[in-house]
Amino acid sequence: MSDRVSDTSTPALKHESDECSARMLCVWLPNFPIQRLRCRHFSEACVLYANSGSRTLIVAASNEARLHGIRSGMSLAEAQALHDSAVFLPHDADADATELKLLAELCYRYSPLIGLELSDDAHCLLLDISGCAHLFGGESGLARRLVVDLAERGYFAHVAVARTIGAAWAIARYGHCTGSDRRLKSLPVQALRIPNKLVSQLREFDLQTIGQLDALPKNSLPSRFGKILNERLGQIFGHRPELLVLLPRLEPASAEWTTDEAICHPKAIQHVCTELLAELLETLKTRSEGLLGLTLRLGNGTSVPAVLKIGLARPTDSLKHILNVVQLKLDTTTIPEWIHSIHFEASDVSPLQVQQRSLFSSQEPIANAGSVGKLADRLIARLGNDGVVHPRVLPEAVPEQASSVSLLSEPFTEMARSVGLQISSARPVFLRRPETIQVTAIAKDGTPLHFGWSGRCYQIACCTTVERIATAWWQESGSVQRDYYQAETQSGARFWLFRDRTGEWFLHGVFE
Amino acid sequence: MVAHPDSLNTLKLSDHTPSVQELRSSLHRMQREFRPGPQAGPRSPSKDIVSTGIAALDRILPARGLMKGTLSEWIATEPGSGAVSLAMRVASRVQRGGTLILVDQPRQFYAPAIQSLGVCLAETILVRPATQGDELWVLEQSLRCPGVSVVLCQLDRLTTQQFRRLQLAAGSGTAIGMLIRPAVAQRQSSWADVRLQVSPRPSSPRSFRRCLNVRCVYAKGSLADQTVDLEFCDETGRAHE
Repeated sequence: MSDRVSDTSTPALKHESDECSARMLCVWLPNFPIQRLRCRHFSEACVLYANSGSRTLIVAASNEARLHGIRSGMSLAEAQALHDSAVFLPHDADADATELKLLAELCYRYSPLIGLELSDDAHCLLLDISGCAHLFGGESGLARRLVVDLAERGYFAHVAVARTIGAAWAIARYGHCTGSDRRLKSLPVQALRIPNKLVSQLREFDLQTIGQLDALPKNSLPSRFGKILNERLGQIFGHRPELLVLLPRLEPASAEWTTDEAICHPKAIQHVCTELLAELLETLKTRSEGLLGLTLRLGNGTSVPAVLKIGLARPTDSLKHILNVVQLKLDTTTIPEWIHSIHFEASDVSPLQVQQRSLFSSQEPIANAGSVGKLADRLIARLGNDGVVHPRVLPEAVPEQASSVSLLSEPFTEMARSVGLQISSARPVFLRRPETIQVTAIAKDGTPLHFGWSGRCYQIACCTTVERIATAWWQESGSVQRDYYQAETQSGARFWLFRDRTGEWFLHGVFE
Repeated sequence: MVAHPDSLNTLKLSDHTPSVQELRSSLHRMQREFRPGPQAGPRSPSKDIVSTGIAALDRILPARGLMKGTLSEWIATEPGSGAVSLAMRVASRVQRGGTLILVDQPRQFYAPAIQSLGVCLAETILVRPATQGDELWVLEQSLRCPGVSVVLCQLDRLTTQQFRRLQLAAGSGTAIGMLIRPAVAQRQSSWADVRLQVSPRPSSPRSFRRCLNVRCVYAKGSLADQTVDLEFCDETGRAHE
């Protein structure tokens, strides 16, 4: 099954669109009801029918059925006469809509704004990809990946990118070319998303193409053909705005178990959790998503249920791993003794990541990348989010403010990696809270000679020149003025001492 | 049962029996010949051996580096000895391409200092357990994880059973476990493959470069007690013998 990608990012179109203009992508799934059935491994000639008033009409027919002359709009009896061995099934419009929404969920990895076409032909998805294309190597790269994704699920799609919803839709349905105005004008009038009745009226006037319509005086069209024609013409060329009606996201996947006979044995709880998580992951699998956050509610029937929130380092669909993390969380949290209900909800989901294969090395790095994520999940489940962090450096002069941490769930950006101040002098690996010490110095503001700490007296053999750290008086944390020394004792051990503006001495770190 | 007189004669030490000193020297020679490493011995360098990045330090290690899936003890003889800084320098060298787990129960690791020692913070995970039980659990889990390169932790107290568990965990993974121990740990039994004692040395007043004495007090399957003096340049981070 091959797919056509109408890539409109040609130099001509790029020239037309500036950086601020919107870029719309339309995915058209031709003969979608039949495609949906084919995805369920249905391979014979297939015809779908539906009741229309007192008649039963054909809604869709597979290519094999079309070869026998069966067409949409034909009566069921006529179609059966043409090819009686075909499979005739009632059309399930609700199932089509549900499947289309599932495909829309898949498209959220390409754009956060996804809508459905509201005209008669609803088997289209519209994506606002403004500012998203560069993440996939350009519009062409994005469109190709989307087509491949759909093909993996057994769907044949036409994809087009243009400035407006109307143009993208028109090219996806009827175009084989770029989205320039000249090309759009050569498309048939059906590409304007107008009712079939209006198309027939236009043909009576020998108006076949959009260009012919566009050449007519606009103020004369409404009286003859209604307001919709001018509206669609304006929308396709971008002279009139058109809102993308966004598709609401699906409800978060969840699984629940309740009972009248409360359970308390850990094995029983674990068994129920296994069943529920398997159900939850099965739901997510149909959406091609992995679990990133999980909320577990344990109810004892009387009071407020205990709520456990579990975060994962990367999206996963591994039941064994999630069970392991849930078990760790249950082991380290106080939960009700008797449990009447268990409710799992996928509070955070994300598309499953495809692991990059290395060209030269063995399979080891692929396994390793996931193993660290799983380790982090286990550690977080037992120690909490605060217990497993990334160290960060901040551009602060005051030493205790220059070190920070970020949660593993936060992206470790390039900025966070390189914002530290350039300091030539060494810093201790362990930074303590400033601890008051007794120091004997040459003079009031001179270098230290010896100091007492932790019940011992240290004789200072040599020390660095003073490093003054001072902050401005208007800073929120207050003004700081410290004179730091790296002091080396006679044995060679090193300490980090400072004297504040009052002349008091502190030990701030040990060069362990 | 009566022993044959000839057999008794063979048990007697003859004048040609080598002395203990001679045996020791020949044992040293044999170990040097069969030591795994790029420079000595007929064996090819194993991919499980990772250089510490300090040539002088590699020389006193039995495998000319640290073995993956093993534990090494770094004993700080006194506060401010520089053992943690040295271990961190080595960890930054060993870390390349993998994850470094820093187990920090007292929450005192200072990120700017770690970064200045060459550690890649993006590949570093700081784990802050609340109790010693959690700390040992974290160590076990991290050592077993195949994606982790180095696990570094400061451990003051460790029973033999706990140590053995850590050694088994390290053996089942590929991470190098680096345990920073206090001076009192020298008197305790160890399951580490290498035990290094790090002592400070007074620096030259003119240069104020950090000077350390590193002594390999125990090496599994090899004679230890080799010493090296190292001097570190703060500006370049390079070590000189």
